[in-house]
Amino acid sequence: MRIAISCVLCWSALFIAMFHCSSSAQTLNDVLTKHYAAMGTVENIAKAKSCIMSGRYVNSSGSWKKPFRMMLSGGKVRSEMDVQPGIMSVTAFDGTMAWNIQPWSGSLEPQPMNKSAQMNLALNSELLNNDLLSYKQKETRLELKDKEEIDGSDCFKIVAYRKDGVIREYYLDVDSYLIVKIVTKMTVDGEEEESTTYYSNYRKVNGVMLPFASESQWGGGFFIERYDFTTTINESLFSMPAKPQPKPATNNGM
Amino acid sequence: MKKLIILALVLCAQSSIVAQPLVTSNTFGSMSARQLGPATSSGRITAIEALYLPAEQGRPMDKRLCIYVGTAAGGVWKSKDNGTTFERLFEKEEYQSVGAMALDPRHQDSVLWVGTGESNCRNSVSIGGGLYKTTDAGESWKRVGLEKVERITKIAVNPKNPDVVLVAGVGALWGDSPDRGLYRTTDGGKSFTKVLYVDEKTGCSDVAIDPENPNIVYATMWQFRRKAYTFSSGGPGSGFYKSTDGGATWTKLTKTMPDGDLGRCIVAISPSKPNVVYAMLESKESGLYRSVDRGETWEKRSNAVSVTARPFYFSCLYVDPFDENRVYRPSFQLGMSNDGGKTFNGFNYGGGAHPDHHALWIDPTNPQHLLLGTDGGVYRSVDRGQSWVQFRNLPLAQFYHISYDFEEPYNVFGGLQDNGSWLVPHRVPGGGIQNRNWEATGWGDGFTVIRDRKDPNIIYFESQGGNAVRRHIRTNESRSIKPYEEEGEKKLRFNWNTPITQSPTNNSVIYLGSNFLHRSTNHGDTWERISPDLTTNDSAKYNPENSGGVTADNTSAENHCTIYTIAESPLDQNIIWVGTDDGNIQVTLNGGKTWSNKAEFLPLSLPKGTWVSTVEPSRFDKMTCYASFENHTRGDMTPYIYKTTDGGTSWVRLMSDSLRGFAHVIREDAVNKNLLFAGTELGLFISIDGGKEWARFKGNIPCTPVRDIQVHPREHDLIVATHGLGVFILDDITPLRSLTPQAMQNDLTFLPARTSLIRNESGFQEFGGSDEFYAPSPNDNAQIVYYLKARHMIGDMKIEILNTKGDVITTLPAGKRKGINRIGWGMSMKPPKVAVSQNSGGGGFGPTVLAGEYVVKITKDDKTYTGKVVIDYDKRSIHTREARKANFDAMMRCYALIERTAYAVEQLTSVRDTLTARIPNIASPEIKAKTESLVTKFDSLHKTIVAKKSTLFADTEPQLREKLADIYGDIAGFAGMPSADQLRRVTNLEKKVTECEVQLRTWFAKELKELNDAMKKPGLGVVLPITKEEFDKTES
Repeated sequence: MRIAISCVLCWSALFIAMFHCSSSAQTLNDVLTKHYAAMGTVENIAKAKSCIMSGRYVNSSGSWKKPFRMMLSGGKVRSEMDVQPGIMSVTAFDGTMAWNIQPWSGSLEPQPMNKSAQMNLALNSELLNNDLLSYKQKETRLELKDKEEIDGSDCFKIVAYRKDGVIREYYLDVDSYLIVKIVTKMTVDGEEEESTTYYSNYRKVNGVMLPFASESQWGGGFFIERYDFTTTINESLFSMPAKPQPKPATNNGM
Repeated sequence: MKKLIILALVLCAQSSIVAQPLVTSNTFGSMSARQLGPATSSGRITAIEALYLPAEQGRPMDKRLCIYVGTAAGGVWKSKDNGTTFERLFEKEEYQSVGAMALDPRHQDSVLWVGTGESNCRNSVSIGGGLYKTTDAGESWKRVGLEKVERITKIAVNPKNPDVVLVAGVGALWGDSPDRGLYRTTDGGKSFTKVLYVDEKTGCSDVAIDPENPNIVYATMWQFRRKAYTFSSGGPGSGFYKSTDGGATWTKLTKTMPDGDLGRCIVAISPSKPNVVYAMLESKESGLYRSVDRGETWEKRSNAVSVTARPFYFSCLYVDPFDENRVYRPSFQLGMSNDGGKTFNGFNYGGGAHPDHHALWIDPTNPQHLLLGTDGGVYRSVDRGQSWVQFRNLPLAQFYHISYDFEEPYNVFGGLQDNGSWLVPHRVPGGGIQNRNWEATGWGDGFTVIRDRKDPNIIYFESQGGNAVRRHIRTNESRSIKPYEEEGEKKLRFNWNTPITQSPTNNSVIYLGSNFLHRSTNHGDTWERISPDLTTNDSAKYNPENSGGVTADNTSAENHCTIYTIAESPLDQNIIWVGTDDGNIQVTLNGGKTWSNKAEFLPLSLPKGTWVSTVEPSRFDKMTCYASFENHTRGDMTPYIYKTTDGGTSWVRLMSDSLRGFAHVIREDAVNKNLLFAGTELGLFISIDGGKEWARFKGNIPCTPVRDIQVHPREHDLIVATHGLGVFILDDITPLRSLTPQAMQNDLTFLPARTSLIRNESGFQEFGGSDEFYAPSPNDNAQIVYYLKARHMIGDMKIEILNTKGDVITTLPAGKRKGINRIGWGMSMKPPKVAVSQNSGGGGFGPTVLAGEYVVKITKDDKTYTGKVVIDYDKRSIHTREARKANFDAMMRCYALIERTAYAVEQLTSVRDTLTARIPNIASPEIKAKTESLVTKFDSLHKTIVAKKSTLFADTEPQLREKLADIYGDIAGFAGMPSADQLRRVTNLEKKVTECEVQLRTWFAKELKELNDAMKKPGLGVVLPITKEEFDKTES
């Protein structure tokens, strides 16, 4: 009887050990495979030539809600926010240079942006086709790190070492295999920069699970109402426009 | 057999389920404590490392000083900007006490070694748990070994092979330990070998590697022991050693060394001439010794006090990087010699820095530039110590006790190791808490500070050894109120950290403990002794005059057989509990007439004679009392917390696996008797089930020692005194009171929060730079609190706020993390729709809502949950509810006018722009002329509603839209009755809005109708203004 019990305990211990091994020894490929499966038909993202995301920016206390749109097309990005009726801020990257229009500065004249903004906007242009999807094509090195607890829940951590020097940490929910958080680290002109974005409110669009909320660590952020993969975007929208010309005076006020 | 296997598997599965505690650190979710400081006093620094980093590749002249600061119990801090700002590193590590740090000389920009466990072995020193290493400049840490070495005092990295590192382990302070000694790794920390060991009583107190020949290594061994009642430095185990094979083998040096037992010895090698070696040797002939032949022979150079002072506490020595004759000896002051240690600067050299120095960094590129670590933070000198600038951004205060008053805002009071007594308001109207908001109220080492509830003009504070003082705030006059022994009686015994407390039932009564309990009803002018000696009165444990060992040291730190904690029952003035440092727990049920020692009833799980750190009589039952005990002074770091419900006759231990670190304090919540808080050497712990299960609270409070905890009964804040990172406040613990196991089973459960107050405080303007610590005031937003069983990932999740009519007045982003989520609502409605304009403003904020109850609706995927939030006004407000209602009504009048104006402008511009676009295509000259005429009219009206575009520095003449925005803002800016002028202004503007509307309606009804009729014939189609229904559907 003593032998039988010890056999049982041995088998139990073996079973538990096997279970633990199988849950803890996941490889990068395992995690990526499950991530792609959780996302759905990820090929549709690569196929999409453009995307327009529209929704609202909301601050953490809910007192500031502004309509916004983000347009992505072939490494270009343009974000528009209706600061108030009649006033729109624009931030854009045409694949080479970044520029913006900041109406609250008192000027509607477009201004070129610095290198930091340029790098951040270049990353934004890859918002959907991120490093986890495009790492082979862009020769980005991915590394699976130890699991980390993010806000009380375990996450897989995949670090992407990009050829442009940017390091992005992707945190994937261990249950859903969807991205919870991305931390971006870069050094621009000697300054270290770090930003964190949280993703949630996933829904399926065009066969792919996409986040409908992207928020900062302090709360508040972008709440997407629609992903549009069909509308063609006028490419000129990404280019910095010429300075607005003064309107010619008219006699009838028109 | 099969059944047995299944049974075993089931049992295994069940046991794993049962083993999961219901409440974990993650349960508390987004609840986070505010760190208040102070940084003005800062705290004890134990190590400094610094390096110049190139700011940008290819620009070698662009460099910044990167500074690492190791602290007594507040972890590691880093500045990347010459000390202007610091960030807290090491937050997730279990031990926050730093003994030593060392940069890897070949990878200075990324590799730092940190040895935990401070080795400035004073009575109140914290503990460590091993050696840590970062390879990414502090972003992440790995504990690489030496877990059982309680204190690491020095790390020496081989300059020519950084994989070789020597680690001096002083080891356990309070007991024997085989884990002390000098360790060496030769593989960058993968493995360690103990290379120098004497015995269980003797640790390694210093190590230094010859920079020229790393095979030559010096090490000092120190025999020492601290007990609760004595300290001994020195003995036959102490010695000075040298190795010539990189630390593999050692020779004890005795030639020309002082006779007799050595104490703590330290060593420093001249970087510029490594044959010159200095040592401070504690002995009967304590002094600075110098060798010019790599340690073979020694010459005593000085026995100045600045050299020999308190070797157990001042344990470092430095030599200038370029001048072998310039020696620095940090002690009470920064001792400096320019003649090879023969003479030292006067005691008053250098001004303004906090005394008691433990670390120094000398700039290797400019030796005039020094960073000094003291008991009061880090200082910088650019003139070799003649003058100092303090880094005012390191909140490292070491509190012993904390208290509060009932002012609005309430103040927090407490005493600090090395830094006197302080108070600070818990919030600063209109801003955050800065160094200047901290006010010093006492001197010495500070402990208990109490504001008298009967006479708030009085504050009681104390310095070490029971030196109690009464301070009168208005006049700033102080009076000593320490009780005296009676004539012919033995000296009273006061603990280093003497308890003083005010009766919770009678504001006239204060208590103070020596070995007797003293009571005063006249603010300490006279004391009545209301107990016999409540301690064990063991004369073997009371002999502080002989404490110190080789160097005598009697500062009251070793006073023993004393009362350590006192608490009167909040329910009965006659019940008083007292705990002593030698293990007695005494209670009187008759106001001190008779006493009963309950120590004998304590369970066997508690070692006899264990120090009683807190007694906490219950607020709910007068026979119930909690007590925490700590036995670390006998080498036992176990937490001991007990509860009695029968006045001390029987006790139950409150313990779970997650409770760690020796226990300093146990507190019961003011409302929920099952909600308990414990402070241990390793952090703050919370139990929601009366102490059966504990979970560490991690919200911004690392594993730093928590010495005291208070619950503010009015604000429901948890005030936490740490001994390493200052004061923390966890604002509003109301949600924790409703966190039941049942509530935690649901996917989402609303938890109550305290009533949110509408405050109307103006901010202030100041531009003080970035170099000062700043603590936020409490978040003034209304708090919506709920518990989420799991992180929300899939599907929509949002919060809507509804008024009592069921109208949605605003929406908020939802918190989605597992555990408690706290979401702030600014208590305002959504903003009005404003008229289209290229000018900013126009009324882009919503009115503050009225006090009352609001419905909170959370939509989570396909489910909805309903809760409430309660809002009231700041009680100090000068405004009546009627005035506020009048203000709100005026705001809503403006709100409506702004929206009416926006609608009018929308109608006007949409019609005008459509007509304008048609003009080129209109063939009929008559219709064309009518169209142009109407467009002109619209334009002229538009110009009276919306100002032409302004630029940043050039405003235009405000029109109706801007005037409405101004009056809306003016009324919003003061929450009381709007002035008559303001109301008249609103009325006048209302007339203007109405006039515009009438004008528009007239034009639409007549001119536009005529035009539409005329255009029908040419087939152009009618032009109609946007309807109100259509407008209402547009975005604000």
